[in-house]
Amino acid sequence: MKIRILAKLAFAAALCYSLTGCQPTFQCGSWVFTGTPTGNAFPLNDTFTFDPSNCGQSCAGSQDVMIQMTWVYDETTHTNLYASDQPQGARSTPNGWSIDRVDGAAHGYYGLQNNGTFYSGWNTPGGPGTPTTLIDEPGGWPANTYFYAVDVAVCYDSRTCNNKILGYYFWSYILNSSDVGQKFITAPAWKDLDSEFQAALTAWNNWAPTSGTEYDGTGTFSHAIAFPAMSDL
Amino acid sequence: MKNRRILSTALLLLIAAAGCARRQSNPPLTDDQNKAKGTMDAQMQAAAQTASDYHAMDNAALLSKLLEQSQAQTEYFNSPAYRELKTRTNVDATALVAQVKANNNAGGLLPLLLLRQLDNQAYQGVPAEMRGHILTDALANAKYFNSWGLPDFYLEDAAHATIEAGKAATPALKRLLADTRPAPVFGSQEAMISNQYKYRVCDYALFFLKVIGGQENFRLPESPEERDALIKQAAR
Repeated sequence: MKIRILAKLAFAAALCYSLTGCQPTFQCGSWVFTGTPTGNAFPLNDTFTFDPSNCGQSCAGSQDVMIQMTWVYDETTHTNLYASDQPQGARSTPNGWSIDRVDGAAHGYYGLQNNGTFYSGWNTPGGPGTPTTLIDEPGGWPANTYFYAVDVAVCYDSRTCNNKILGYYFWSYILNSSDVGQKFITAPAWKDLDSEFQAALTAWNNWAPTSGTEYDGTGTFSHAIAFPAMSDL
Repeated sequence: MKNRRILSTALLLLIAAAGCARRQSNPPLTDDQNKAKGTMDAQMQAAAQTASDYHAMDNAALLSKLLEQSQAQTEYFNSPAYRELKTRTNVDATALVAQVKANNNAGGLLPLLLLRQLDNQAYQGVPAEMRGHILTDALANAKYFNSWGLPDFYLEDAAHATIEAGKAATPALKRLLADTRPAPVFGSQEAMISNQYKYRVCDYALFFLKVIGGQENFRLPESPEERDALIKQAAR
């Protein structure tokens, strides 16, 4: 009888987890997004506060930071736009998403400089109950551009819960036909985007060993640094 | 026995419900999320279609598009024609050289950079003065400077080509030392750096002159005042 019960329990669990939509939430905390377009720029702060108890974890003493991926589209020419040559090809996913870092940055973490410190103008690290904030100000994009981003909070360099993904947030803005920015949609990210994020990590990691020298003014690497494997907490 | 069966069934339902409670905490997409997702899905299809359309074009049609996009000051990495031509091995360098010579100004930038990418020997065959003129004219007329990159951070193809043009570009670059027009770069972190440093055309000119002059590791100071002092010296 015990074996039969166990079998039934296992079957129920497997069935439940295999059903579409019967998924973990991937949001172990809360997001606060603030920002208003000014001209063709969009100064913004995206803050995540990690609440491990929400996910049945403690992650004591862990540190969390942000990774951002972007997708930019020109409605006039129906093509993806990039700010530089680097993200194209191997560094982008087949759909055109790429990890958002300026050329010269060896690390894919949004605020991590080559000297190993986080630049507070881009990302202040957080921890359980302490917010991590991503600071961005995309700007200069031409008229009729759609700018999309997904911010992902992850544990970084932590004793516990290291390399665990804590949550995903989507934000976007549009440049209208007069090249004036308008907020589009900001919301928790949806299911497909977590797979796209994994693809963006893979693309970065495939490209990193071939990147050539990366210098950002704070340090030099002979090539970009690959991400570790990451998974939802 | 019957009680055990009831118990096991109840347990099974409880486990299933507990598992699916997580599903319920992941609610259906909101109208906003659906709107964003729908818009992006349609745009991804359109972008793929554009790439496919360009892939189907022959070289002559692509070269014509390339020139069009060059004259519209599209960055080389954002030009669909450049993206497609870069992948081809059968582009006629002679046709490209002819296009460069017929467009010996800012409008010839993309054909010149494509030639440099595809056939360096043919590229070196274009007189350095002509290359220098196209590159500096493009610099003088650019609205955004993404094709050159951000001095002190990273350089793009147009910057490398300008440095390669060497002394042939020097007279025009010296003239540009007087051009204090803002030289912004669009992007995300790129735009933030650009806003912080507030580079001007004269700063790019100074940077290229210093590197061409042999200071390979030259760095532009962050302060415009310090840059102005260097510009004054370089203009003498």
